[in-house]
Amino acid sequence: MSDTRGKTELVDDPGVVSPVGLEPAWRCGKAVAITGHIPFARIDIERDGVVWVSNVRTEPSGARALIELPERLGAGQRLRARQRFGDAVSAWSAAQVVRDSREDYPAGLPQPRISPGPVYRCGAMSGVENILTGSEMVISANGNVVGRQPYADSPTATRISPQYEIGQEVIAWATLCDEQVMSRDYFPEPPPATLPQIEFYPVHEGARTVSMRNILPGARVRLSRNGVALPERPHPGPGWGFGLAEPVTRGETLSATQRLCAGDGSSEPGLTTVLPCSTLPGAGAWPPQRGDTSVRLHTFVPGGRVQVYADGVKIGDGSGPVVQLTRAVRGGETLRVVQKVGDCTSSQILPLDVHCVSPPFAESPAALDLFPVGEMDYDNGDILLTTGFNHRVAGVIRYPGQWDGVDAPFHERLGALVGRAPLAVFVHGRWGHPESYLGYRYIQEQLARMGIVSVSVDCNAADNLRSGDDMLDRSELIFAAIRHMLALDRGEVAGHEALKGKIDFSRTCLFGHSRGGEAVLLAAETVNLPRVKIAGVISLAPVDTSRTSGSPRGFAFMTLLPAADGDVVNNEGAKFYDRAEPSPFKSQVYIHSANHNFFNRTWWRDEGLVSVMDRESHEAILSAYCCAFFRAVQLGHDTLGFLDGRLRPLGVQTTNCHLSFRMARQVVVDDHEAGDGIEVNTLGQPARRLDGDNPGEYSFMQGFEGRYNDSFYHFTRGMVISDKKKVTWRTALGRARSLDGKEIWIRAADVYEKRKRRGSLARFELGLEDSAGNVRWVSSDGVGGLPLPFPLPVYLRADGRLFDKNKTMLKTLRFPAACFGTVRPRRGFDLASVRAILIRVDQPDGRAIAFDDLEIVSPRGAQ
Amino acid sequence: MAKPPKIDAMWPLPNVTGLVIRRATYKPPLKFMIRGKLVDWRKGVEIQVETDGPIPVRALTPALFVGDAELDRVQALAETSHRFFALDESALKAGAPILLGWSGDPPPPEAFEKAKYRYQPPV
Repeated sequence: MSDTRGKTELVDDPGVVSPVGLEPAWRCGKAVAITGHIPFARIDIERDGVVWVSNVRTEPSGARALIELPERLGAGQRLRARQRFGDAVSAWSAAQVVRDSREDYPAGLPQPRISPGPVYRCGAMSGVENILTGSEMVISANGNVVGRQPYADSPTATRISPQYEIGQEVIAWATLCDEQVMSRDYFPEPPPATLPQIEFYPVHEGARTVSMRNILPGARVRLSRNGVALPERPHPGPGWGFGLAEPVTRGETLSATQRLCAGDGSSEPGLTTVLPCSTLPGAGAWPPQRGDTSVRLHTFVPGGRVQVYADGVKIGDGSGPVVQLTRAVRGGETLRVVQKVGDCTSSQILPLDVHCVSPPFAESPAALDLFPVGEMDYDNGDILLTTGFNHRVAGVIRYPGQWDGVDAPFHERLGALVGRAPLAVFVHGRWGHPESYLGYRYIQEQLARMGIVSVSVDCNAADNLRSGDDMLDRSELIFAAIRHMLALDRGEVAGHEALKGKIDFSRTCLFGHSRGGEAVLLAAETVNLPRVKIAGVISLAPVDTSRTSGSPRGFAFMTLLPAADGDVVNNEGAKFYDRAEPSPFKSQVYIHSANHNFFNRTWWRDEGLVSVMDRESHEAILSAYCCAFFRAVQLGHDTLGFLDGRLRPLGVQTTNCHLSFRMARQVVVDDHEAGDGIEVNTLGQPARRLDGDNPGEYSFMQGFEGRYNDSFYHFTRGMVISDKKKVTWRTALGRARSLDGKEIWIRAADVYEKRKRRGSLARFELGLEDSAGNVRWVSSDGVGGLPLPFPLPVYLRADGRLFDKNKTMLKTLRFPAACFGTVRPRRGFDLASVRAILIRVDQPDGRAIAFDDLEIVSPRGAQ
Repeated sequence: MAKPPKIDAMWPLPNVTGLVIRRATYKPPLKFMIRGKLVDWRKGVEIQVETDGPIPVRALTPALFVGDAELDRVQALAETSHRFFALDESALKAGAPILLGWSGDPPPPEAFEKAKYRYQPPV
């Protein structure tokens, strides 16, 4: 076997198989979950150094294998797992110490949910997720058990007998030790009059798993092979595979029908023909970063096998979506990923470069789902605002409830064991529609599920500009909403006692969109309410009308800026980010292919300047980054990695998200703000070009003197390097510093210039120079790279003016010092003694690159 | 280089059909937030603009451009009637062209040359 270029022979050593992944295990659990195994591999489990379970066979149909244990787990036990395939035995997995769910989930087990939904009459199988592995799972219908798994995984699928009926109340229950939690209630619906036709995903010869779409949850599916029907089987619905006893063969015809109730008939058959080996595609993988011990796939055949090679030597043999490796990957190495289904091997074997920085993926911060959602909407009538106008005080409240629904009691154990929940306030912008404030309920519900109370404020009447200062009105409506929450907390609102004594106002966060994005900053600067402290502010696509100081400080700050915003076309929030003081951090997410409106569910119009992502993708981005912010600021969760670029959220188009981030108390080498010239950096040390005339220091602001060009919408100054000859820039650190464990961060951007043709990406190199004069370089491409400026069309407006809103937007690139070298090596570059940072630009096309905010950062926090 | 295609104004502004410049006194004073401070606005120059249609609702507010000065504090009196407040009267130059636009997005120089209205300081 050789790669696509035929240059590297790949040796499939049968003695090498990947370690498996071992998922978190829980006290009282009766099972553990394994990932990344080869289909049909056998699994061993070790407990406290002794093999406890051996040779358990896995099936090919799922990414996770659930291994039953002889007895329940005890907290503190140390587990490892390995796989056997043929004569090969993998190394043991990383150890998992059995956790006590009461420590990770002090307010109770996560709430299970039936998914995929809905629940249909005659449904004969249900999927359940959001349960801790090894829990017992039961489904009840009107109090009678209709499905049961003595030990379950998440997700799990269970047969339903007797099948669901209309009028039943269906609930999923999870039990672990002496704790039990129930899902919300589900009510079976009548199936559609015509059941949809099943569609097959491509099936390749040798497959033992078939993937299909359009299967209704709980339907009975009958698969036929070459016209011969197999026994009918219930199916949990989309997202689940269909295992086969024998592999399929080339040219074989598969058909499938589904039915729910016996008398209602079946769907039309869906058909496919098994494809030959030669069409099996390669597996797609995200580039790993130096030191990674696994490779994450983004496209692969479910039930397939994936091998990873480095320099022709096999270092991984398992399955998707995460293939564990037999060793850590090295910087600069190129891997090759091979996909196999049965005896077929993918013809495409694509190279995969190991980068210095390629952040790993982790579950979206929005996915934390612990509590039901209580609802409490309010309308307190009009109040007189400072501007002299009346405005309705109304809004929607979501909070962690004991169960889902209106005025549900506050979640009992959360209140008793964890204490008060923090408050988040949502403020919409100017859209002129009375339902604008309802458009963020999807995030409010996510926050409630993780233990945060929120209120979305109705500011609609401020949209009409009648008062003369709608921003002042909006800020006062925010205060009125918080006063209402204070009254609820004091138990002063008759008939609505659920939130009495339940809200912690000292961790309040504000979220504003559009004009609301500036209003929340104004509110944070002027708030004067008892018990209320603003801990964080999020401004989504804000305007800047000079109502505020313009310099957010005293709270954590984040702005999200849609690159295709057709309303706030100047992305004015970038100025707020530039002027914000990290207290303790500030964050910016510049979102390519996003418009202004799709983050609010009631704002239907796509006003984007170009074709944009769908609404669901907008919401996934907002949910992930906002929940990362709220959880870090309000709950103390370790989610800042999503904002500073150490992690990427799963299920989000992260390639469209370009991050800037600064923490307080880091070493700022050069922010170009001092005004004492390009030759002196912020440390007061010399900075100069080593191979020619110095580059320029410019304003990055619209309309300001000394700007580089009109594509900058920032509120900062920086350096621009533009030269067809190589430019090497050196900035001194004053004294030799150890950068062990540190990172070098710099904001940079490919500068938009109207007349320059661009195809390839701009790049530069960052260098470190040690006390002996040794220099090591790392390319910007190796840390995520610089995107092309997001392309917007240039139009001639009716008034004769050129409409060119293409922008140069800085993003933060992280260069971990470990990518440059080691501490006190026997010879060569010494990371313990760095005296200067260098930037090298070699763009023969003379393309300009902008730089700002060069810092030495301690990733663990303040120095 | 090819000529860029034409685009209709994305947020079309109506035509100005009338304009009154006056020095006004406000009792009670108007309330404005300016750079984080609440200001009582008791008197000043205001320009009332009548239009032949409503101004589209969007995040940006309409602004009146008087030469280089941008008046972005606006109060809607009716769908087609707005008054703009000059917070810095000294920035208004006699004879300066007046145009309706969007906050932060001044019209092009050519448009000012063709402006129908000019600023005259009120008595």
